[in-house]
Amino acid sequence: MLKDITFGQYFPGDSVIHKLDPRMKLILVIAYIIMLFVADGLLPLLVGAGMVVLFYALSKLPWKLIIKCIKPILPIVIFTAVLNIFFVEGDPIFEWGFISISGKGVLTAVLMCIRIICLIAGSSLLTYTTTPIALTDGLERLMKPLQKIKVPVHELSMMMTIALRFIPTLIDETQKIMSAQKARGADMESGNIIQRAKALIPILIPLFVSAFRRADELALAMECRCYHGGEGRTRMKQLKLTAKDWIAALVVAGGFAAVILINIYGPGVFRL
Amino acid sequence: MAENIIKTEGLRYVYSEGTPYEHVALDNVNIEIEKGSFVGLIGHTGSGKSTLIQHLNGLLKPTAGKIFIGGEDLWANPKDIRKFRFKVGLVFQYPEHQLFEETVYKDIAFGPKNMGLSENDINRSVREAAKLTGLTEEYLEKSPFELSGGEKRRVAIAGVLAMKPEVLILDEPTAVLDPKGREFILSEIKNYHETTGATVILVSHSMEDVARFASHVLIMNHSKVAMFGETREVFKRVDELCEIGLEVPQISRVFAKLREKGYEVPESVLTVDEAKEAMLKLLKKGGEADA
Repeated sequence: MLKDITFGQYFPGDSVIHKLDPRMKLILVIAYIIMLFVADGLLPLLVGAGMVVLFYALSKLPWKLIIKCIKPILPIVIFTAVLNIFFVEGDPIFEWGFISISGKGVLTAVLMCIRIICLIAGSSLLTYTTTPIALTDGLERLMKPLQKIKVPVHELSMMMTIALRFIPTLIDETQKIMSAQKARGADMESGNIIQRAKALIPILIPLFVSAFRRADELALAMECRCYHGGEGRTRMKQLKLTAKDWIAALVVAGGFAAVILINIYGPGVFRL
Repeated sequence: MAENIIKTEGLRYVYSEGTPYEHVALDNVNIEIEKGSFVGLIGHTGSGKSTLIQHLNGLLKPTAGKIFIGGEDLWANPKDIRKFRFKVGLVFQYPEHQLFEETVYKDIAFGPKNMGLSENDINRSVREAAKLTGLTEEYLEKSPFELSGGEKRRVAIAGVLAMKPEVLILDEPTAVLDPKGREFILSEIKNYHETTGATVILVSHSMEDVARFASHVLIMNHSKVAMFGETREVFKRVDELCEIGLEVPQISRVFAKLREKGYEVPESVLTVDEAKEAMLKLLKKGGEADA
């Protein structure tokens, strides 16, 4: 049951996309999201969809992963579509009683669906191909300028790294404690809500105890290695932008440019 | 021939099937364990020991194959699985991490309470288990969190013993304990084995401990059963064990070397006491090498 929780959902691989610099990936994903919202017609959005497909193909991830990331947001997609179909006003193409559907409503619904799906697929690609640690590393570097206005960037990212690092550990620990209590006959699968909540006590108490113990041990271990915050700290893995990163940037920039050009000069069909 | 309390048929278990993290942890494991035996389970880290023992009380469901406890198919009716948890008591590694109650008494009573015993029976089970593990009356009202590591472990083991399991499985119960704590826990396991006639499976990295207590040895290697037999027979196969990267008890190694040199000593010497006997016999005979 617990192993189904995929956090960060990193999917190991050895593709070009996996090897991109996490900073570049973060920036490109943000650019891509902006691009999706700039696009105001079917044609530019198809350019966006094409880019997601291209990057998935390059990442060599199994295609079912796209479906896996879209599945949980499907209700939202459908809800948005239905709302748009019925409530966007325009020239009605279908009328029945108080229900009227406009061509504009249908178009908006379709565009919104494509937009949301591309948005999720694009940002999922980032987490599928980047380890959580690389991601926080990239974030720290990107947020560095904020240090000037006294944002504790390093501390924040250290906290994030530690939290991410301990999620699998704690899941593991939870599983072990659950097994141990089940071995003593704990029954977590039956009973009403109150009984089930009570059945969690034998798991939560040992889990808290061990989380605090781990925190203590980690703090001690960090102090033993003279950790004193981010100042003057060097990194073992230096992030470096390489040719691939700039090529990826060019591809996204090209897509962005195409979207803007189509927005301005493109044909007027299927436009909002 | 005594009856088999545990039997597995073609047991196979695969972790995270269908993901890049897929890993076969057990492959075609067929074992039969006689009732009342004391089995030492040995193997490298990751050889499948822990996975195997978690199958024996139904915590893990085999990918393929069957498990029989006392002749009953463990997974014949998944709703009945809890019944087997009380029959096969499993003490995990670092069992002290599972303690949660306000008092030692309540924590030991967790298992018996889940069995649905009456208040009187629970009381008796708890006191018996506490006695077996050397926890005196004054411990019972203390908080488990204020005890020392060794004491906590005794409480955790008592929590399993209180269910009076027919099969007691312990996963490295002596890890990180000091020598005194180790001796204590091992002797209390032996005590339980002898007084109740329960079957015991002891996972251990210490060949000496296994040689001293176990009637049978089960060796796991790369998710498979490498050897299974009487302790004396298994520890005779010094070369095979070395190939797996395991060792025989130090004293057995000394005697194997003596035999190589041509001294007339028994083929398998498992404990220091046996070694003493063998040495004395040899000295009486004059102790000359044959060569």
